[in-house]
Amino acid sequence: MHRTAPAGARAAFARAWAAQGRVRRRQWLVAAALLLVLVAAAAWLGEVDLVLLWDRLPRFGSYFGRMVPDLAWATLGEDLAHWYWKGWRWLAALWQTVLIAIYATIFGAVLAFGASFLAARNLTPAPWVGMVARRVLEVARTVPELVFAVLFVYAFGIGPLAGVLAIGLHTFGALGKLFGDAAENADPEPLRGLRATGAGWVQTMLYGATPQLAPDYLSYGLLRLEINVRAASILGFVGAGGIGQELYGAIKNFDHTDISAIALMLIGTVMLIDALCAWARGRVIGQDGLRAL
Amino acid sequence: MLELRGLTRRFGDATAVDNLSLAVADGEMVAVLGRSGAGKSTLLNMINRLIDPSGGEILYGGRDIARLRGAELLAWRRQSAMIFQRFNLVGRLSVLTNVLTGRLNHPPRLPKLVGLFTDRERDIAIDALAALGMEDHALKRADQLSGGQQQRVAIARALVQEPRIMLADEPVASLDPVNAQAVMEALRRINRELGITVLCNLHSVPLAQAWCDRAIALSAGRLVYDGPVAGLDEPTLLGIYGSAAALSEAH
Ligand SMILES: Nc1ncnc2c1ncn2[C@@H]1O[C@H](COP(=O)(O)OP(=O)(O)O)[C@@H](O)[C@H]1O
Ligand SMILES: [Mg+2]
Repeated sequence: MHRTAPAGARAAFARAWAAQGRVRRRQWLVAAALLLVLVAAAAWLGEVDLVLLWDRLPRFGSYFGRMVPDLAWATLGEDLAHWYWKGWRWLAALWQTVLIAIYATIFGAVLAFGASFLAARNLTPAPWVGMVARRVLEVARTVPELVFAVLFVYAFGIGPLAGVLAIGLHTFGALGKLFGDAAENADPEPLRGLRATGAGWVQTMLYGATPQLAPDYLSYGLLRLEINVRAASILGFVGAGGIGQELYGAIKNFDHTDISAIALMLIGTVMLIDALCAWARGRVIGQDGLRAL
Repeated sequence: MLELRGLTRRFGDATAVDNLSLAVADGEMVAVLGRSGAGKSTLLNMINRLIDPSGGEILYGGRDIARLRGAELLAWRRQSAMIFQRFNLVGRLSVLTNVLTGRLNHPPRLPKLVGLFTDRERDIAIDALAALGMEDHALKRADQLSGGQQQRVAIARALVQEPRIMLADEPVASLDPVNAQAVMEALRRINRELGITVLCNLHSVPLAQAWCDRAIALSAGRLVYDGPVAGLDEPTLLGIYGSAAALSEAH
C-alpha cells in the first residue's frame, strides 16, 4: 500500500518546522538573557564581595584550628574521654534527632499521600480541588522548617514536638509535590478499569493508583528521611529538640572541642542514615516484587 | 431493555456519536461494527457513563442513565460491566485482588478500603475465576499473566460485579486467534447461561458472525446497519466500511 502524498505536503511541513525552530530559538535567547540579568541582580543585592571573601578566608581556618582537640598517643584513651566528656548525653540527643526526623517524615508522608491524589491533575476529583491542594502544598514547602520551628516553639514550648511538627509540615509540602508529580504519570487504563466497576474516587485511588505509585512514593519518602535527619540536627538552634540544642550551646559558650566532637558524631550519623536509605531505596526500585496491598 | 434515544457525543467540532437511536432486549448478544474512529468506543463508554453524552437519552429499567449522579451513577456502573481491549487490570495487584475490585461497590464498603473482603466474596471471586479456568493463578500478580489470561481475569472481575449488561470494547483485538476464541466463547457462555446482555465492539466481521446474533454498525457516528449477523452480505459491508481496502482489514 503506497499512496503518494498530496503535492505540497512536504513544503508545508518544512515551513511549519522552520517556524517552530525560529520560535524555539527566540525563547532560548530570552531565557538566557533573563538568567544573566537575574544572576547579576542577585550578586548586587546580596552584596557578594569576592575580595572580602578572599581576605577573611584565613579567619575561617583559625576557627577550625581551635576545634581540634589535644590528642596524644600515650594518653589517647584519656584524651578521647576528655574530648567526649558528654558523650552519653550527646548520644541521647542524637537519638532524639533521628526520632524527630522519623516521626516528622511519617507524619508528613501520610498527609502528602492523601494530598497527592487531590493535587495530581489527572486524579483530582475536581479541578478547583486540585488548585487548592497545590497552593496549600506550595505554602507548606515554601516556608522553611526553621520558620515553622520558631512558630511551634513559641506555641508548644521548647522541645522535640515543635521539631516534629515543623519538619513534618515542610515534608508534607515537599513530598506532596513530588508524590503529586509522580501520580500525574499514573497509567490511566487501570483507573478506567476500576471506575467502570462502580468504584468511587477513594476506592479508585487506593486500588488503582496506589499500587502503581507505591514504589515511587516509598523511594521519595526514604530520600526525604535523609534530608530530614539533617534538618532535625539544625532545629535545636531554635529550641526544637535534638542534638542541635547541644551544638548551639557549645557554639554559644565557645567550647570549641565540643563543637568538633558533636559535629563528628552528627556527620557519622547522617552518613549512616544516608547509606541505609540509599540501600533501602535501591531495593525498592530494583525489585519489582513489592506488593502494595 | 436498553434503549438509546438520539444519543450524541461531540468532541469539540467533531461528532463521535451522532443522534443514535436503538433498542437492545435483555439477553441479546450484539456486535458493534464499524471502521476505526466510527464511534464504537465512545458509544460503549457512554452507556457505562465513563464518558458523558452531549445529548440524548440512555434508558434502562425506566430510568434515564444519562442523568444519573453520585451513588446512583456508581451503582449503574456496577450493573454495566466493561471489558477493555487492554484489559485494564492493576498490574501490581494479585489476580484475586483484581477480581475482588469488582466488589468494591457492594456492601460492606468500608472494610474494603483497607483491603478487607469477606470470605463469601473471596468465594465468589474464586468461583468466577474457576468459570474462566483461571483459579490456579489467583495469587499471581496480574502483570505476570499472558494477554489472554489477563482478559479472562478482567471478565471474572466483570462477573463478580453481578452486572445486567456487559460492554466489551474490542475484547480480543490484542489477542492471538486461540485466545480470541476462548474469550469470545466465555462471553457467549455468560450471555447464554446467565442471561446477561452483551454489547461487543469487534474489528472483525467473521468474529461477529461466529459469536453474535445481531449486529449494529456505525459510520462517522451514525447507525448504518441494524439487523441479524446473517444479513451482513458483501454490499452491506462495503457500505459500512466504505472501501474494499478497509473491508479487507475487517476480515
Ligand atoms: N477524548 C477524545 N477527545 C477528542 N476526540 C475524541 C476523543 N475520544 C474519541 N474521539 C474522537 O471520536 C471519534 C470516535 O472515536 P472512537 O469512539 O474511539 O472510535 P472507535 O472506537 O470506533 O474507533 C474519533 O474521531 C475520535 O478521534
Ligand atoms: Mg475504539
